[in-house]
Amino acid sequence: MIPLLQTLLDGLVLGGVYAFAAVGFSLIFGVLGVVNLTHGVFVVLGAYAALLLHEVVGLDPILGLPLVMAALFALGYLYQRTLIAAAVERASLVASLLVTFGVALMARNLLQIVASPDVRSIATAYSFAGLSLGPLRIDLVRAAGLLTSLVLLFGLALLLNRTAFGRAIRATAQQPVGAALSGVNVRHVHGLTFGLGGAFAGASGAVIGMMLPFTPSSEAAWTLNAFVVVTLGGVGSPQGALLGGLLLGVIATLTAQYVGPAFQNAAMFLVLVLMLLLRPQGLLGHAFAASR
Amino acid sequence: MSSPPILRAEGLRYAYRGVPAVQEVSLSVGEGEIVALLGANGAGKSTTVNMLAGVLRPAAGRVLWRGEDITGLPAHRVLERGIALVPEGRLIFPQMTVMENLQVAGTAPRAAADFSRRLDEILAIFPRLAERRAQPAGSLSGGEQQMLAIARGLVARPELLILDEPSLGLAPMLVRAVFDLVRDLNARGITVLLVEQNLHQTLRIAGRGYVLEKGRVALSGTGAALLDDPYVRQTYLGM
Ligand SMILES: Nc1ncnc2c1ncn2[C@@H]1O[C@H](COP(=O)(O)OP(=O)(O)OP(=O)(O)O)[C@@H](O)[C@H]1O
Ligand SMILES: [Mg+2]
Repeated sequence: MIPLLQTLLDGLVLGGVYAFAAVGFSLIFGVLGVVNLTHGVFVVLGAYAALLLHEVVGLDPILGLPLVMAALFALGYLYQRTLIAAAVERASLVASLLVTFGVALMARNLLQIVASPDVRSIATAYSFAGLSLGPLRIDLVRAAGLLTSLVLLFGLALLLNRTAFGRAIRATAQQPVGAALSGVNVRHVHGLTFGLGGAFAGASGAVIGMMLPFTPSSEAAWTLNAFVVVTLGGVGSPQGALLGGLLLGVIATLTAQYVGPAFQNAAMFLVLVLMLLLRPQGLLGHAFAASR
Repeated sequence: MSSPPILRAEGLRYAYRGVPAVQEVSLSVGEGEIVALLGANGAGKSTTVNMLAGVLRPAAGRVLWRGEDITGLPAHRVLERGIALVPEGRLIFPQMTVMENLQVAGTAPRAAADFSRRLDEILAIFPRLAERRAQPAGSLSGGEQQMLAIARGLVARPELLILDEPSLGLAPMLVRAVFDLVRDLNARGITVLLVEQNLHQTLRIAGRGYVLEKGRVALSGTGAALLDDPYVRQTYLGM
């Protein structure tokens, strides 16, 4: 019983972070309709930025989150307003798929040159400390990572549901022409939404950097993770990402524990295929779908 | 025309992927008027008003607002000038509440300063919306959705309200209510450009009108003159 509970706990912790790492992708897809294949690059950039801050200034990755998020927000905004907007306006949404795929390839190679292809991780002062919950154990780093993920996911849900900016984002997602006629600067909101997605991806990268090893080519895995999480949970909302992330975390950990680590990906794809067959819109559906 | 025009469109043209929809449309709207824009399905009415409101960028021609060239400005900036379009199909935010729909419009710079007072005024004009303020807009009836779209257009206190077929798909009683409302709003000082297919009702409240045909202005004149025009009677009224 205890080992099973421990595995479930590990799965939920990992799942919270998976959700955090996917929510930016989900938001961008939900609001702009753009499948951002550069998503994983933003995650990995966040990890490297946190590593840099940690090694050069000695800043804890979690305390450094505002800086990482601000930098990737700006990068996301500029990226959308230039390359992505040009691709979508001159060609189509499908063109953005090609553009983001190409940029992801280039960014990965550039990162391999700048940061080397070596495996990195961020070792904080509390890296080897742990917490005990009765008979269960959780690493302090993972607990901190999970807490950060949940707090920021909750913050994003509040932003979307309770603020004027969030209303503008939802209005733009549901009915862009209606939003423009209501006085919303739709292009700006698209840029800001992309920036927000990038900031969240980067923040998750900083957290992931403390928990798991990473290299420039990890970006592909994190884009894939976002895909699976969104397929499981549904597009466009922090709630959907959380549900999908937790499911994925638990499935991955249970499989690794009871079937074998080699079957983790197989299990993930099995669930993905089942989901696409049974409920292709994800458990919570598309947050803005009624209008599409 | 009794008053000098506040809006002038000169030689507007638009094509969708090379297929012309508006070939040559010029029109003007004077302060305080109700002007009708009429024409059969596909004549180019919506394309024309979408160009006026900044939803579409004209391929040629100019839009002048109180003498200022606003051609090609995006919709949110046209709204700041005081021109609001209530679009065909309403285009409300279906998964947001009635209140949130109005709040989105209330965030525009032009509306933000006195939004709460404006909201009270608007909810007084539309008591049905006040009752349903917490309901998702997508669950409203067609007539209520049209009211919401008009209410949303009024939030920023427009000087010119453009309505694109507000009576489309409504029951006859509601159609009458919409026309009464338009007349009321006009009496409160809002200039109106009304796109309609419902010729009789429209020309009864409109001082002047333009009839579009295949993307061109085929006829224009006072409401009474258009109603008496043999061509109009034959083509649109079947007389
Ligand atoms: N998005 C679009 N893509 C391609 N063609 C379009 C589009 N919108 C309108 N058209 C075409 O442009 C022409 C003018 O259309 P428009 O919608 O302006 O007419 P309308 O007078 O508003 O008609 P209705 O009374 O049916 O609303 C039509 O031939 C129409 O088929
Ligand atoms: Mg039309």
